[in-house]
Amino acid sequence: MPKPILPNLSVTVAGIRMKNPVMTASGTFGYGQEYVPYYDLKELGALVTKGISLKPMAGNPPPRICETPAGMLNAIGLQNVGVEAFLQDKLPFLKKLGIPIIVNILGHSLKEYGEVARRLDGRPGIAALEINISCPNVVHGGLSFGAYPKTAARVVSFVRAATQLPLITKLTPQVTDIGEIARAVEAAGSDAISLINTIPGMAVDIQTRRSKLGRINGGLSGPAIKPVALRLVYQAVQAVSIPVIGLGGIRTVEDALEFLIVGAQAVQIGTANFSRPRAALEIIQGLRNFLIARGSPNVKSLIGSIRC
Amino acid sequence: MFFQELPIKRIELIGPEVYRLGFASREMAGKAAPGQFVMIKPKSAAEPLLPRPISIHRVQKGLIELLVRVAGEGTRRISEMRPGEVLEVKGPLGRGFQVDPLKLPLLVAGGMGAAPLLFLAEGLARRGAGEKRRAPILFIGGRTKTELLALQDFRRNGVKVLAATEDGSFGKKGVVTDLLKTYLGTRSSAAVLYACGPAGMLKAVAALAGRRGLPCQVSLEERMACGMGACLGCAVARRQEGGPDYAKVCQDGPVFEAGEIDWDA
Repeated sequence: MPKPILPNLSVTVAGIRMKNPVMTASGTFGYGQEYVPYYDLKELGALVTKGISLKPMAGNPPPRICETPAGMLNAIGLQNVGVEAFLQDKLPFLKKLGIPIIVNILGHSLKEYGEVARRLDGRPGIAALEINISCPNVVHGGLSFGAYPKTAARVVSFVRAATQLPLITKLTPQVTDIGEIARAVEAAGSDAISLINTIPGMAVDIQTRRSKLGRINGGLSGPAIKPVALRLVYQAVQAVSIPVIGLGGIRTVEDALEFLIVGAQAVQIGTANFSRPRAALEIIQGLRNFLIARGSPNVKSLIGSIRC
Repeated sequence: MFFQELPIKRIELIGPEVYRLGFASREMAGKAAPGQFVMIKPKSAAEPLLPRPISIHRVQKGLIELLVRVAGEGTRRISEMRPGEVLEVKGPLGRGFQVDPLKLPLLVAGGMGAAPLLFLAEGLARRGAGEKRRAPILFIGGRTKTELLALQDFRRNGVKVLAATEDGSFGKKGVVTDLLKTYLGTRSSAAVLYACGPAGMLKAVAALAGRRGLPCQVSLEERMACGMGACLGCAVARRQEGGPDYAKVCQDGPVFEAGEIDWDA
């Protein structure tokens, strides 16, 4: 029996050439090194780092996470080493992997977003920036920018002016019309969008009558949010002509396929990494097997193939 | 660190809603050190979604044993598993106890805190073989007699056991820190404290050690999603001038020098 021809999994998103459409989601993969004991990170389509701010951030008081039905809430509070320590201590390792490294950035003001982007501009080893305009955890952080088309677009314009790097804007699901926000960031110069970020949520300990998190609320992720994410990705794909990266509760290859079928050019794996550190790798292998089983030579034949 | 799918070899009830669970992994057993932990969950289950951090209780010939107390839905599902059913296991994880061979080991356990201290006691017993060492002392406390876990296992390893229960059903009536306080009041030899238990007990032990100028290592517990330093969920405040500084219980700990921790945070 002839060996099956290995399908072509490669995609190009915002000018970033990836050998497969599977990336890790920001905030679930540290700075990459944490996962080295578990598999060869070179297998990934791309790696997205923990969100980076201008100055180091200590994060929120514990407890920072709690499990909820088919999901988890987190209120980490954007803890990160800051852009200078990232460049010095984290980037050299990431650069050596030889896969596209996408740096997630955040700011407390337009100026900070611009400044972080400027310091990352022109640094070898960085393929693109993903702008977090949507993190719901910090009072002065993303939500106020990401919730409105005008402020979302202003962040993108500021970052656009500060760097030559391709820009992916990561959208919050907490909006009335996802298409409107998507079009606004496209018009402001974003090269791609990724969605969804976590959905703000809450859980209460009935004995203590306190929030189960150190902060009142947190961001919901995991399988519970997948149907919401899928619908928003589908809508965003209809709204813009730039590529859309889908994420939100992807745990299995079947989940990833749903996102590709509704038109996502790539997917990100987040919470699933916590329980199965090789989740992204397993999904890449599953994608390959799915295409072989259907005799399909190219993953692109699936992307946007939904029948309406 | 390994991530493996391993069938449960044995699982038995040993205390009030406390199960001893064992699985075989030559790789993990070869690497595990006292104070380290593993993350476990039933294979392929969407519920619980996240693995649970459980300290290593004992390692024998490739078999790793854990004590699991039913504390919620996740641990309940784990406790209902049967031999042959498969766990996803990540480990061994974290930084364990740093043994000081020159000082008398004083082990302080509250409730489930006995779990990692038995692994430590076994290590101390091996270390002491053929040498004239003073027997480690275990100070152990719980609400009632059945909460005092693995007492025979400690004794088998040459550990002297001093117990306290809040209801007086075993040992001295009261809390474990009172036992410790009394003991420290009458002795002044070079000792080191290794403690694991509820946060309130650890705080009291740390304070006691501080007053006596004794080195003290505490094993902390915090909710975590990954156990490997990626999610940043398991934060504990370090003593730090000018604003909070959070350590990761999973990687910087779970065992910390008591003096590192900001007990008032």
